[in-house]
Amino acid sequence: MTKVLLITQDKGGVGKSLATRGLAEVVPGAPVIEVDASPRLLELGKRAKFFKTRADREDIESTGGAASRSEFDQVIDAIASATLPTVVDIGANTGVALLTVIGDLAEDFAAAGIEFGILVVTTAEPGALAEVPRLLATAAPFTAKQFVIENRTHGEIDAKKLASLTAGATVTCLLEQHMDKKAGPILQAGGLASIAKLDPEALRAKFGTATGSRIRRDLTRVRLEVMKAVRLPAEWLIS
Amino acid sequence: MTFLKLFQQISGRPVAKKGRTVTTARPATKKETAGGIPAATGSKPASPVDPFLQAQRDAANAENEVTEVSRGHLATLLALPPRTRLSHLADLELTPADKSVLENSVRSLLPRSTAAKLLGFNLAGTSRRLLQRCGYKCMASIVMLTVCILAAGTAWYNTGERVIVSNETWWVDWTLPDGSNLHGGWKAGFPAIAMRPRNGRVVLRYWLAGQGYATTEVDQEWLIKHSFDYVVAPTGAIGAVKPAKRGSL
Repeated sequence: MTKVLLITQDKGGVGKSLATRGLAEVVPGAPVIEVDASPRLLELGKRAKFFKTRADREDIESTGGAASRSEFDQVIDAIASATLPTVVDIGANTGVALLTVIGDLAEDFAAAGIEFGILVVTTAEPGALAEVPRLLATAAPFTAKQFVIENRTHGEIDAKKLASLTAGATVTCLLEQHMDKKAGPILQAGGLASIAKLDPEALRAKFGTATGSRIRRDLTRVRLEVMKAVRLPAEWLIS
Repeated sequence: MTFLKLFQQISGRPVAKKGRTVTTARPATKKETAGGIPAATGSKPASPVDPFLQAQRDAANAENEVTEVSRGHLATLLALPPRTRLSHLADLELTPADKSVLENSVRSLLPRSTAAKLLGFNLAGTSRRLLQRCGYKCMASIVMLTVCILAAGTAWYNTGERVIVSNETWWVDWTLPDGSNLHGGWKAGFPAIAMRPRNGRVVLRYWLAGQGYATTEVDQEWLIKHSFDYVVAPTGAIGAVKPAKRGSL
């Protein structure tokens, strides 16, 4: 069986791409499929295959079943042809629509030897939390394993509430990360993949010894924390 | 099983060093080239390194570097005169621990007056230290004890010293429970409660059923001369003790 991990959350800005980048770091050989309105995982280069989709969910759903399938034809083909553990980053407003299409084709994927897992990323924002049970329920019929990452960037989620929303899923936590102001743009520009390549000397030359070392510390810590948060999904992916 | 082993299993080749290059398990198939999943291309195989362990090492090394830079800077600052050190107390190059060291180096040189000691008393800090030393049970006991002492003090302050009577009726200004004033009599033989004398004056309380205490303030010396202690014997009989036998109020 080839394992495919679907990373999803229909609310934008919760850290889906960060989780994808973390998985790409923990499992360096896993191909990445990106389904979004515009490519984000540019630092992964040819390793990531981008498929453009309409950003608006209503727009996708209004096309109806058949049209909705054709919207994702290329994505489905790419997933079906996977022979290595693969990560699929599903952009905002696309999750339920794509999961529904995959669910409709579950038997075909099983015949092709594809086993699915799902990773839902959420913050404490009500909009994001509301999507968690919906996405998990949509994916439940065809996924072998379900994961949820609680991204605490907007605060901690009440434990009981989170447990009730994520019943049956394995929950991990990404703590809120504090970085030097100058570290943010570097992370935005190069993603997690660039952090291991940072040249300490160049950082010190550009920002000064203290600031340069602090930027490197903050970025390496963020990279490690994200890798910790996705470790369990990664272990499932390559087990 | 480590990620390195797992990755080697799925990729069939060593992991790229420090995750800098991306290697693939196999060459791209025709299907992939035609639009399927692209196989990432990378440089030469490097020595095997678990990406997770490597990330931990990178983070630890970066943290150590920040600590070393801060220590070096602290050593420079500690060599400066105290007045100059003051301007570096919020130096961003220092770690929080080194900031404390710098702050203490300046503080230890300052004269410590009584006022400063009092200002330095920090209720929250003291409570925290107490908590650390003897735990929450000890803290709860201290709080309970403080509450009891305050309650006992309040009760003592508001309790009359003795019950007294007079052998004559005196006309005094009473303050009634509702705050109004009444010029009325303290009748002979009627018991009143004498509070503790303050500055030569004594407050007398007279209980009005269903309303509360009416109070009046009289001179202490005058009261000694014109009143007697009101005594209730165990048998229920009542009596009075003359001023000469009870001393001063």
